[in-house]
Amino acid sequence: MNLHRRQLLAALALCLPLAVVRAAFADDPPPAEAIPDAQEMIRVEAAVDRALDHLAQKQDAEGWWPQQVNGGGPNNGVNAFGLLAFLGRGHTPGRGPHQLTVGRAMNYILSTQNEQGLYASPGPSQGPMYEHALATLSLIEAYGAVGTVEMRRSLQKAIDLIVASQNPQGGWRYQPRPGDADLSVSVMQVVALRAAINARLNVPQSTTDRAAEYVKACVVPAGGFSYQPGGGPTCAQTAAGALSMQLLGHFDDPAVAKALGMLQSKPYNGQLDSYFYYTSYYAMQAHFQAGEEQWAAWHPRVRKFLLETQSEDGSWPGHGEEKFNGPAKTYSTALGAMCLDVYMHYLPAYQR
Amino acid sequence: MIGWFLKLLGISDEVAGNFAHAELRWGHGELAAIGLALLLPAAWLITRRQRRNLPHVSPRARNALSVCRIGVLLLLVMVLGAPYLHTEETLDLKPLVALIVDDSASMSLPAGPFDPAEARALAKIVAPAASSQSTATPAAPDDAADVAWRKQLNAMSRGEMLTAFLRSWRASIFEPLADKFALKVYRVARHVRPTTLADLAADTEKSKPSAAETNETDLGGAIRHVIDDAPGRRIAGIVLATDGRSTTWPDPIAVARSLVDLSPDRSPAPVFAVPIGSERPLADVAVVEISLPAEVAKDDTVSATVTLASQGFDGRKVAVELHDGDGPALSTAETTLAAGRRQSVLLNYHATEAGNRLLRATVAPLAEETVAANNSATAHVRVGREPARLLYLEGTPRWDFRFLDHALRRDKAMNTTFVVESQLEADAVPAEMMPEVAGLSKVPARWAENHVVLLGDVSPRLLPPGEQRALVKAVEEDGLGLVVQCGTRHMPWDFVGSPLAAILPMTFDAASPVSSDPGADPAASPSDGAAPSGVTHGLPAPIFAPFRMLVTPAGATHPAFAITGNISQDRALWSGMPEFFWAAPGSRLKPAATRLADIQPAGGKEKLPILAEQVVGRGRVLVVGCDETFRWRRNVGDRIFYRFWGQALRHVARKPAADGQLSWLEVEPQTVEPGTPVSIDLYAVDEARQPIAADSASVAITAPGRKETVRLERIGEAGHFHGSWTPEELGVLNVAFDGGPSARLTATVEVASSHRELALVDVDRAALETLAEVSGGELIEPAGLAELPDRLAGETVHQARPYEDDLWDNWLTLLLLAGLYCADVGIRRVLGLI
Repeated sequence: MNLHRRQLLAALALCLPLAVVRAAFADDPPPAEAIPDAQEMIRVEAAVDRALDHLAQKQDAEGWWPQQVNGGGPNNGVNAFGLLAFLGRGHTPGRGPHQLTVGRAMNYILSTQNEQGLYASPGPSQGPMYEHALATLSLIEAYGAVGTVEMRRSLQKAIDLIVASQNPQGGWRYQPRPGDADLSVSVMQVVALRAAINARLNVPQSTTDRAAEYVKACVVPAGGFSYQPGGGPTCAQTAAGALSMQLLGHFDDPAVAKALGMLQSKPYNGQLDSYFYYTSYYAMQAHFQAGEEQWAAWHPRVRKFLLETQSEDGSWPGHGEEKFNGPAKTYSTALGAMCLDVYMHYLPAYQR
Repeated sequence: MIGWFLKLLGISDEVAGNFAHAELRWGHGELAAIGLALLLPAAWLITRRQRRNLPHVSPRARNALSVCRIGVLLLLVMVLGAPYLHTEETLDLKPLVALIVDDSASMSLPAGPFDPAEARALAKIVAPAASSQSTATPAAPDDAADVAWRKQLNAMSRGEMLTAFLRSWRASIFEPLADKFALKVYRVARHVRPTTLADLAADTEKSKPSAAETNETDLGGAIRHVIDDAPGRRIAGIVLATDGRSTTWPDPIAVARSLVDLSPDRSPAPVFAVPIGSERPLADVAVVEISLPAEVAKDDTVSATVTLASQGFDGRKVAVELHDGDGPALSTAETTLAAGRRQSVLLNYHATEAGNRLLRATVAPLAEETVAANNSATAHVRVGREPARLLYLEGTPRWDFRFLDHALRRDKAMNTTFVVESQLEADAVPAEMMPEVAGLSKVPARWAENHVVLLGDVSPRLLPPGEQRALVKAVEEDGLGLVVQCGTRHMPWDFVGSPLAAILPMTFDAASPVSSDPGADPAASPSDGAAPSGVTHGLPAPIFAPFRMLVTPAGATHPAFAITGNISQDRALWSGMPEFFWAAPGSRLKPAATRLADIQPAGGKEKLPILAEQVVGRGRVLVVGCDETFRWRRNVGDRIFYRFWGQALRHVARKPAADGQLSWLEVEPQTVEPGTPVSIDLYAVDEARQPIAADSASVAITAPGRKETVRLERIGEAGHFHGSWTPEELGVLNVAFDGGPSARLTATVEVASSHRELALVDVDRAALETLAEVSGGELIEPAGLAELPDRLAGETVHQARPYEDDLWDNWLTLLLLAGLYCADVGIRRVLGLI
């Protein structure tokens, strides 16, 4: 009975502000489902909390998460997604029930920085710049709660490395040096740079200007974005390209609307793309950035699918992406939680 | 006569009035029996002793002395026996049936449309009463009269239809219930008001609520009211005749759930919901909301977002217009209506004229539209002569800063200069050079170039004592506004005892650091890896008991917290904000400060203030003892987060002196719903340009045909006055202060309806069904209400209520005792025995 009453009180506590906000701003229901129904939000938050509990249990005492890619070992891409999943739900270092999990993850990633400034995965890695950008993004967000001089110094070094690794066309590739480029690696650098600007780290304007040029070069005239200039569109790159354009300030570029239209025309399920979670995450953020109409057309589908496919233990199945990111389900669970974290509006890097 | 005498002795009305059936009982019967048994030999002994010792006294006097002594003993025995009167009243507690009738504004919407079958069923209810009321009504329903009935029913409002129903139900359903149930009748709109069946059926002009009263529907409050009105009595059912649109908190379904949760074995208050109005949707276009920044600068162009809701006009194109008051359209946008979903339309507003503007978004009523009253919505915008200048000093880019940074850049009426201390550190600026590089000055006038300063978690390196003194002077003498947001590192911990601390509304203890490495296990030794260590102050919440912000009554009326225009909704909203895990509560509130919000620390300790404001000289200072306001973004983004910050900064900011006038009058909010307090702040100087030294000031509030005076009390420094006043009637009111040529000030307040009543026009059957189901009741269509008595359960409870009153503990006993004693002494003195 006690448990029942506590659950009811918790539900009422969540319903109260939502109900009043809805009454205050948009009566009933809110504009085009910009805010889901209060009961639905309770389900969303419960799903994220189950996923975070799962991740907390799986975390190594040193602060990294198992991912079993290429034989295992810590991978900073997975670690960063794990950390971001917690931050996106408002769990910051030093505060709240997951403070130790968050703090350990943050400290672990910080400890992997090498002389060059790279947050280098101790385990096998196919693309250090993927992992470095994600690690940088997650630490910039965590820096908002820690704010030490040492952390800022580490982050500025990491950003300087991203700036230095940009190729003449404005893109990035797997290795921390200028060479060729692809949109997949580049989008992660763009998000990290955007977060860095937001956190008042030093980012040259020319870097973001050139990045925008590269992203525009990946636009497919018929709609969507390609992995490299001149290629054909994929859902994953289309989502990544649209978000990159938005974070670089090109919200009204027709390519963005076309890209979102292309994504919306696809059935949303585990076969959306071979990189299902990667696509889902960037598509969710891109639709959120695009404003209420686009957001309303996308997020209910993602929410429904994720709520229906979450496992009992709080994890999400890989939907085929485990062949790239390991069968440990850490990656899929972290990204599933991050997709739903968008409702929280907590990560400063992604504020609209 | 006996009753009167008993009342004179202090016996209660219940016992004195029922004396004939009262029993005499003894509190200590055994003592009374023993005492009386001993009294006889004692009386014999007293008499014998008197006779032996006083042979020279006359027998009459001797007997009188004996009587006195025996009388005293008798009284003592009576007191020891503690006699009292006992009576019982038998009460027949019939189970309660409450009838709640909705008479809010939404009941003025059309009841129809009804199809022939529906109309026939409804006509059967209305016809008997109607035929007895008027000869003009159609005859009882039959095939020939169907068309006439349908026409008449379709022309009725929901309220008229309900009145017609009640005329019929009064005799056929509710009055017969009186045999078995106690019936209470209420009307509900903004408040719950007791009434009678006769009054409902009569529906006189006198019984109709005011426009302000019909502005809301408080169905949740009505259910609570019935519960409070029936102590100790079983509630057989609450009959709720309404269109189901409850527009205030508490939500009736939440109320029903909480009642069931408290009494899970049986439903304590089953609701029998009777939907009034057709099931079929009304064709309607509603302008639900117009949203734009509360303040803009002259010559700015901002976007107004107009939210539309529509049904029955799918695919129809309409023009949405933006007007300044009743003026011509300032901008127009065309949109294609999509049924059943909210649509946003952007309109441009170019602010050409400074002052308070009332903007109105409208859609011209369509020919087939049933309700035209909801085709417009209004919003107040304050157009400043120039953007307010904000100087924002922050220590590190914490999350609150990052969100505020974005929001302030978007706010075109706020011209913000940002200084981030960690950036200066990263640029290797020496500590002694920091203020200069940041553009901070030791000259008050330089600080006063801003309207408001926001201090984040900065250290004394950025803000040394010299600069602090200049800042303080600018606040005190130039009216510069100051907002301080505490942090874990420096603010206010490193400023205790500094010039800045002197003007803060709270005092803080320079506590020792409470934690260090955020990733370290508290049980383990500190990490020696690459982890940075942070020094933190303040009060961390236990993991199991995070803090919740509790807005005080003063806070609820503060402009920073104004969200909905409805104070109870605002308090509910703020008190329901997400919990947080760190706070910087003040250890003591300064005498002139206003406490705006508290936290309740774990363990039931005393509440501590985390938000407070005070007037300092000509300026205002607000302290926010929380660095997790970003949590207010949960699910809604900037809407509440920046609403708070934008309003707080503007409220505190120095008021622009109009025409060289130093005095100002501020009324917040400028648009309110009836029943919501309006906060009035006044700063007034005399002709010598010195603050008025009086303890109070008065403002006159006038509207056509109305005038009242509100007294404002002095707060803190001379010249500052504050008060509040709660309007109850709709209209535009003028607030005026006449303090002579140097302080002749006016402001206006618009008391407007919430628009919520007419925003959604359909009968909310789904909500009523859920309410009925959750409460253990049932949704009953009007045509089926005749079966209500069969659904009501509960037997009359016979309850005996005892009444008892002491017979000895009164003035008469004391008087007799004193009289006997005095008589004894008097006789002895007369006889010369003493």
